[in-house]
Amino acid sequence: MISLKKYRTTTMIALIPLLFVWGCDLGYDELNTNPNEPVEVEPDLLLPGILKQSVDNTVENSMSVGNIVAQHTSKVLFGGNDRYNWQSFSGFWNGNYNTLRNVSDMHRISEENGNDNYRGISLVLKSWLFSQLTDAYGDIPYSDALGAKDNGTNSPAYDQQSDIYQGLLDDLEEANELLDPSGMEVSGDILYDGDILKWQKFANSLSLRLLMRISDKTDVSSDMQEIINNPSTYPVFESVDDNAALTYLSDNPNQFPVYTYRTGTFQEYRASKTLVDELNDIDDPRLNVFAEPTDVSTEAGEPEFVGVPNGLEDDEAANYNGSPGDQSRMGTLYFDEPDAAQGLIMTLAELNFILAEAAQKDIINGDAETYYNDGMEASFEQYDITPDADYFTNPDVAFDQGRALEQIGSQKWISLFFNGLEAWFDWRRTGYPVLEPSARNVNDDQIPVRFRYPTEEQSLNATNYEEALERQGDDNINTEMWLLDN
Amino acid sequence: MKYIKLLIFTSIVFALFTPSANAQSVVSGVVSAEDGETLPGVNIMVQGTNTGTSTSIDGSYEIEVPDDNSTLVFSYIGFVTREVAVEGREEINIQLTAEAAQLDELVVTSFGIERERRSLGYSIQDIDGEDFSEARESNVLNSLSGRVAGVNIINSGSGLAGSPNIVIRGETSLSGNNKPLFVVDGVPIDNSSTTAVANAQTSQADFGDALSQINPDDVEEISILKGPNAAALYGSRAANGVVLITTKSGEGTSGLGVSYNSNVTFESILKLPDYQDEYGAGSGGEYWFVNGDGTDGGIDGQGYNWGPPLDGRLIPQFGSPRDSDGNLEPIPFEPRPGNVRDFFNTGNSVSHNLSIYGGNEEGHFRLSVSDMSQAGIVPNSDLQRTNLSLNAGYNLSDRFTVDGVINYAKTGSDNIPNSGYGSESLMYTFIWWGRHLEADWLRDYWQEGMEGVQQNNYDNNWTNNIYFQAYENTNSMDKDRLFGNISTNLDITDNLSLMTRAGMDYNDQVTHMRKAFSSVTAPYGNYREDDSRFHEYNFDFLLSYNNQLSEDWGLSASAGSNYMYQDRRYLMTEAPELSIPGIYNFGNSRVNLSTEHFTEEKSIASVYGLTELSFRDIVFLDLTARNDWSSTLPSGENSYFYPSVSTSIILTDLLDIPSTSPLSFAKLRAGWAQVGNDTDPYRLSNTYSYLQAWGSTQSVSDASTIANAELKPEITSSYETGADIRFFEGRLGFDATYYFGSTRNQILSVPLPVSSGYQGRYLNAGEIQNQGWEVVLSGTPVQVTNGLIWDVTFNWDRNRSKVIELADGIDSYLIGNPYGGSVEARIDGRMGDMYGLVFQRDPDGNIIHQNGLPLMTEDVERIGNYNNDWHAGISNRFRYKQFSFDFLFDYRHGGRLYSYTHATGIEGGTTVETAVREGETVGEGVMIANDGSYVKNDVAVEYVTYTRNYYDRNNIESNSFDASYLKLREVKLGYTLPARLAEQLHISSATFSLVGRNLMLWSEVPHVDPETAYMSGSQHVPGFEVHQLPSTKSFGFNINLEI
Repeated sequence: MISLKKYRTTTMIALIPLLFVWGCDLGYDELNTNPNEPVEVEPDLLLPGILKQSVDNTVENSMSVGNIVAQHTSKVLFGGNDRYNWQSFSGFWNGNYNTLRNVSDMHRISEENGNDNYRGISLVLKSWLFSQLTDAYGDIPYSDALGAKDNGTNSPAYDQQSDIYQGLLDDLEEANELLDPSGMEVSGDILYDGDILKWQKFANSLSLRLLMRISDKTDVSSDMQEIINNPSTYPVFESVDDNAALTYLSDNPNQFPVYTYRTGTFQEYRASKTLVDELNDIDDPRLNVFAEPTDVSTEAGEPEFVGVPNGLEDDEAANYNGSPGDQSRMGTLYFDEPDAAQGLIMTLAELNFILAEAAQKDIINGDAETYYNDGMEASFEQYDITPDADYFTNPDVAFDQGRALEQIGSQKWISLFFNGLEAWFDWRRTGYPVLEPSARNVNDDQIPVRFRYPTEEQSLNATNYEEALERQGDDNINTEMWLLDN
Repeated sequence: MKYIKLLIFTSIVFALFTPSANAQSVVSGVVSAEDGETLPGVNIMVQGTNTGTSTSIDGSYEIEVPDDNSTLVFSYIGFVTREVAVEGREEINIQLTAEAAQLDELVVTSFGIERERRSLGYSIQDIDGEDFSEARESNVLNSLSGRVAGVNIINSGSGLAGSPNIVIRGETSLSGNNKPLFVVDGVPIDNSSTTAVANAQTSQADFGDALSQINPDDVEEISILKGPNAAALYGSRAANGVVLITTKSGEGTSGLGVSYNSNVTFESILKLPDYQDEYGAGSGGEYWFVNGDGTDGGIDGQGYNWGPPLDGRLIPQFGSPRDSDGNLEPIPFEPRPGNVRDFFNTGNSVSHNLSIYGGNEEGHFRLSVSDMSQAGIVPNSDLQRTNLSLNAGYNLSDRFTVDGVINYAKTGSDNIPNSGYGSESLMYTFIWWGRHLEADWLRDYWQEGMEGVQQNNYDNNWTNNIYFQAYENTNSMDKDRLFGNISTNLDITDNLSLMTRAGMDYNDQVTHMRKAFSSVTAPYGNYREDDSRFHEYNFDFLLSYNNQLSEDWGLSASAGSNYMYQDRRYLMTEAPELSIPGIYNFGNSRVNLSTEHFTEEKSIASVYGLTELSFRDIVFLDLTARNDWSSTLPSGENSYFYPSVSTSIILTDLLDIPSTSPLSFAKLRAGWAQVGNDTDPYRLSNTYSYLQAWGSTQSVSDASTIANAELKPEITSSYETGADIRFFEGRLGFDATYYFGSTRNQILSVPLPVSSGYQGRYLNAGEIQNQGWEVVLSGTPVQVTNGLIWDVTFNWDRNRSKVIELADGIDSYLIGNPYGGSVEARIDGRMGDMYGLVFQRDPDGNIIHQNGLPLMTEDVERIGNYNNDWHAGISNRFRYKQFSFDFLFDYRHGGRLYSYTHATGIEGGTTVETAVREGETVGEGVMIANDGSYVKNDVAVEYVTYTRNYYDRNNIESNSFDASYLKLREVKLGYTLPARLAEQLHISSATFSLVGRNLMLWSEVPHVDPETAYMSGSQHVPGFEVHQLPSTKSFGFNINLEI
């Protein structure tokens, strides 16, 4: 219905010329005020979206690249990524920075209203997201980033990776100080349900991951030791319940992202031969979770696992071992149920393997074997599996001082299944397990060590992009960033 | 229901066949031409009655007249109609004069004002209503194709309701809004089209635009005001030109008339991809069907046709019978040519229109009722439309008249099929569809015992069963549109008048998208409803003064104001999963509903003035000015003024050239105009946008585009100049126009690197220039006294745009990002430039190979432009006595088209390019030798591998083609009943026509009709074909009766 108040029809017609002469107010300010969306919000409305989007982004990029390059999985169709024909993965970059926009906003709001717990959480998430970015690309916009609205920084400069790492660790230190389990309540926390102690544990565990990552570049001994020595100041993961891992919901649209793929898309993936062979060798029961026995063998009543080598051509892959029915797909966990698989950020198992390596390398005081065994236990517990007792006495599994670093690396790699980006980041540093470049790769038999910057950076942030290349080297997938440049 | 309607129509028609009045006297005579030759078939009517006859072979006639004061009207095609009073005579012999082409025709200009064409300083082209109603399109906009110079219409191939893309005089807007303003009877209507994206996929259904709701039977005329010169009076939205639609009224008629029109057409596929019939589904030459997802040991569910040859070998297939153990029996693996075509139907469209009109000195009216019912070529697709319109006026006194027009359109469909890339799109499905399949195998689309729950398909990985898709995953719609206006006109004095008008456009549209259980993208089904409502109100008043100041000087001046108010409401509700199969109701949602909701308001207030000054009817000068106040701009910047000026000089009169000279008329015209433009609501301040809730936990996100509280209006300015020259008493006409336009300060979301935290910010930036030529040649090459007349009109246009400026620090602006490439504006480039990956080439231009395979560039390069270099249209009309024959050719020269059907057809091994698979290929080009030099490539690779690499879907070079085409747009053969016969039947005229649209296509583009566009949301991206539905041709007949 035409409401007179709204548009004052007849009066309007008659009075328009006069109104203009008098410069009268047409009520436009009110008319052009957006009635649909809020102008200011509290952090609890930002936090759920931040967590979902950032974990989705990690899961999706682990699925499409990370798991593959880490040789957890292989591709039998559209195998470009498996053959190292890597485009610039702008989705990963954009996803992280888009989430960081909200993280930065949450930090601003919590600073203004004095809620230190939200502020602490925003710093933890900021560190995690920026660490993923710098680990993937090297130098990135960091200190200058995210400022287009607040200070008009439309073309942020790139920071050196070494400086970024320092910033990430400082932020985690500050977060640990700010986070206070007896402080103000937090809601909208779909990761830890407002349990601030768990956030603190995540902050410090993440610090240990980052410190270990730069341990070849700088002496991190005292920093790591400080955390280990003071569990009351620096609590870290103690149980699998502390894992930074998002449990999805059974309902659309909050299901494990892979669950929503078309069947055909999921069928593009297989368990990698590298993973299946390794787990078969040590009779690892986690294989039942990560992969499916082949259909043909299951029908024949003798289930067996056959992984597909990474990087085959489509036709080769279709006929590998006979037919697709003779190949192991990824586990049903990842596709048949909407909420069974978690979106992994960091786990107790990973923490223990970090500490095992640090102890083995005498970076910290401690017993590498204990950490190593705890790591395996934590991984089994995470998947609710109790291995046979003789699993741990298998000579390839039982801690062997002579090849401890290889064992730690290999078990860590297994525990990082479907946390493929982290598995790849870590593999670049340790070299364990020893991976062969994929079969029909187009990268001169080198396994890629970084992502290319998105083309949008080249066109929209050209000067700073060029400057970063000058420092870091060509923008290709084989350039060694500061972390790897020994 | 249909029969009842028909019954009502026929009974009304017969009721009107009442016997005519008693004759009182008889008049007879002979009708001849000026040269004395007698004319057969001349229509003779008694004025004000339905009595009529026509002359016989020798030109003689005989007619009964009611009384001595009767007037006879003699009319004959190609001759000037004569009225002769009987005055008691019994014999009347008359001569008819051959008609010279009209020089002083009236055209409808801004505000529905009729003006003499000679006085206009800008170009305007108009199309008569019967060009829409005889050979009709369900969307009248499509009927303009090829008829108007400077107007580019692309039928997007998105199916029944089909929103065509229309651009007048080139694309001016970086933000993608190039649509002209549509005005019906002086009042704007909203022509945004509605598409809905199928969930999580990019295939979509096009639910049509406003023009698809207009009834062609009601259209009197469409005029195209091409530049802003012609349109300054409609305000901002007219910057891209105006399409003025005038509906029929009873004005100027006397007595009561009834018109009945019936149109029946059949529709079939014009162009379908060329599929190969040598190889069937599979991969690596292997195929056997087990379960359709490649897991139980078969090679199936690959979505490829790289399987075994279709040589009759025995293979267990989807269509195989089962043996006693329930296993599929091997049956011959055979070609099934035409299996895709078999799926499609012949579409049909049936329309009826009945209108009653009349008028006298007191007033006039026209009442029209129409019904259209269309069945598409895709099974289970349809479109229904009912239109009602009333147009009436009453003269309350000599000086005061009231007019009103109201149109109601009800449009509905049970299913508008999807197009595009995704499992819901049929043409996508057919690209991955086994060549060994019989369409009939899929007709029972549910698995036995699992009806409603599990579809029965040969591929369970990628696509839906085609019949399941057509019958279960439907997109239906209901639209109600009401538009019209009420106006009054008061002649205050003989020279001064006041017009007031209130106009309304109201559109209410609900669309429903369903996905059944077991859909590839929705295992638990899905139901979504989009409900949008739109109102626009316009209130105008206009005070006009008109006076012949002296013998030499004439003046007309007007001042007026307009207040426009719009509101829009949108609500999308989705049940992401259903709990009970087959029940599409939100109560049946298995999970939380997801919604999207907004309301929006906008208003513009304006004052304007115009003057027209004429000197001796030889020189004309028009001045207009308008000031708008828009609610969408910041208060300091929301007022903007824009003027225009144009002039027309009649050279033949100025130089006093005698009418007997070959040059019968010459006019020069020139004009300049500026138009300001505002933006969408709510762009001035930042807000948070909603995300989908996490269970019951709500969440928002800081919007990724930064608002701008300091936006300024956009400015378009343009000039045009032209000439209208006619020879031989108007039998040959030449009209040419040159125009130049520039749009600057465009309000854009200028991209930011996302590392800045944001993806864009609203700014005034950029400048686009357009210039071009339009030529219209019209003539009557043949006009002989035996009645044969040949009229021909030729249209030609050429537009070039140039990107002059983008925002600071940006050298490329992304306009569209369809599959396979992008459309970007780059400085010094053209609008419509297409970018994508191309072959790597050496300095001599040879393709570089590695391991025998061609390499692609890492960065995108320009491959061409989707805009044609030029357009031409030629329409012909032959008339001979009672017969007429029309045909229209539409030619578009140049431009490129990227075809995803081509790329994926080769990737999938489905189209003819992959019919031959034996042997090896040594690619033409070079490879890099060990020393880094280029040497001739000599590495042989398998033909199939080479072909698939060469035509990689990301290679815009090998998958794009010269988009030139020639279409036979329209053919009409008409027969009008001689008046004498008509009289015996008690009707005043009857016309029967055979009609055809889009009958032939000549093009070098393989597989698809180059007239196509990808739809991204409701925006067209021409130049990219992404599995649009096949284009169609139609033929049928039209019957028109006037009583």
